[in-house]
Amino acid sequence: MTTAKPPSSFRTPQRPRVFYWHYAWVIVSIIAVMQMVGSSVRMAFGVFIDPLSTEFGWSQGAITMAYALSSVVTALASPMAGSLGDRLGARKAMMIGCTLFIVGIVLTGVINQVWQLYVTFGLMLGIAQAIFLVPLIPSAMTWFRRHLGLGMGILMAAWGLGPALATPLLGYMIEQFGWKDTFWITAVASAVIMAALIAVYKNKPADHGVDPYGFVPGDPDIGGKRPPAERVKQFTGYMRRTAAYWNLSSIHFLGCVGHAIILIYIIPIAVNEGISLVVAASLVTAMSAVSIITRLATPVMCDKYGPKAVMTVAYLIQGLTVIMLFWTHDVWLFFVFAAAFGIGYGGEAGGFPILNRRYYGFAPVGSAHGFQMLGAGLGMALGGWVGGVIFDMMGNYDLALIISVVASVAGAVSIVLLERTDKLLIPDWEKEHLEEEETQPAPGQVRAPTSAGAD
Amino acid sequence: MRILGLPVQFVVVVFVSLALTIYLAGWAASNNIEARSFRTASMNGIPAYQSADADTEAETWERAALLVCPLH
Repeated sequence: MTTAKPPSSFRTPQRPRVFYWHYAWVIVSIIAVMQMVGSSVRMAFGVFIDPLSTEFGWSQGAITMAYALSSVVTALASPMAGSLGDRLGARKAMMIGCTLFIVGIVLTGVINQVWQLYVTFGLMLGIAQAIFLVPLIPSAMTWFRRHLGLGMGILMAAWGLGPALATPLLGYMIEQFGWKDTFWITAVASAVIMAALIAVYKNKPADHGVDPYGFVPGDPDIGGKRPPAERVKQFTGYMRRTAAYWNLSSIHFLGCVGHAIILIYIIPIAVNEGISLVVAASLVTAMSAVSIITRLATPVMCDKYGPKAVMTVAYLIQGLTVIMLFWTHDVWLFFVFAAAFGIGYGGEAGGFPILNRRYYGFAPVGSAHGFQMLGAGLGMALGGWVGGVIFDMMGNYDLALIISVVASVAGAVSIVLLERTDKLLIPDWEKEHLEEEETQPAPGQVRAPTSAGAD
Repeated sequence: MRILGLPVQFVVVVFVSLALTIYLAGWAASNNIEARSFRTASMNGIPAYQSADADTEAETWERAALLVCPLH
């Protein structure tokens, strides 16, 4: 497999430093914390199941339906959230998401009917999480002219840390204060943290009076302003005519099906082999710990070696390691599997921002990112569901494991078939945007790009 | 190559995923109804080979899943 060369706009007359102090790192830190705070309650949902069941007598199935609903709502709201970020900017989107998140948590603390849980946790927090997840990544991308992989790697690694930190903390708070007070304390703490972060967040480098990270003299100036809403809508239309817009979503879907089956069912699979529940649960911890390393490394390697090659390898590792489970019976072999699988699992999502940059350049890609997150969310939902259904029907997980392998390998094949990444799919976006600012076309007149990307 | 204006890879993934979901849902619904029929038959003293005749009401999602799946 050949290494894709970056487009000419990425090659510079002088070699910029890889790492130096820049406000972009403040932005990355803010987004990382926002992601951790915004996803903490949903990722740690398991700690609330017993307290809710004990107080209200609801079945576990009825309670976990709220989590499933939240996941599906987040997936379906992702494209809308991406468009919201493109049109309003990430800062305003964060304000909306933050408000909805805090209201949802406060109301969840006063529920007494299960349908109320579905509205507050399932619907409100599901939408809030879409608004947190989706616009932030495209916004972070605007801060990196070069070395995008480094910024994205840190964000992806932080995304893996969130659940690891939130679950024990929330479990401790429930023990000390009860579940209702835990929701309210979380709401107040989240409000304070998020308000402080939003206050110092800047949508674009120009808002802070600086150039993007990695900018060197001679780079094209992309204006620093958010394109008009009409232009964003027009560009989104052109994006939807590219094959990559659709295929990246289906690839993310396949990758998430592949790892959702393992993340959810590795514990009962291990327990069925005679391994204790505590040790089986630590397999997920081992996978997550290894995945943090590849979450950090994958975007950096995508920048250096080309995203198609790196992501294909990650998908193949994620898929082919699952074959081990057909003959894994001993504890030590389960941990070998967990480490090997974690490498692929951590690398699965890291290349998507790099691919968006290679295909669409510095244009607003919130809509594309949102559509990819829709695929991811639906993949997690399907992967999480099929294992249970298959076990109920067949009494084992073999068919589910086969589906996991096939999904990941199909994703790898689909990545290989993507367009080359050494040229923009919709070129001249920046030139057209700048020319519009300089010549100020008449109202109602929109300048079309010189060529629309096509497969 | 495109189908209905969409890339063929995307269409294949959507089609296969939908087919799998519909089939599994139909399979689950069929098995649930069969299991309930067997239990009802056992409680009423009806022999197992006649359990399909036991009056068992399907839940809404089970009816929907069986309606959608052509193989169940």
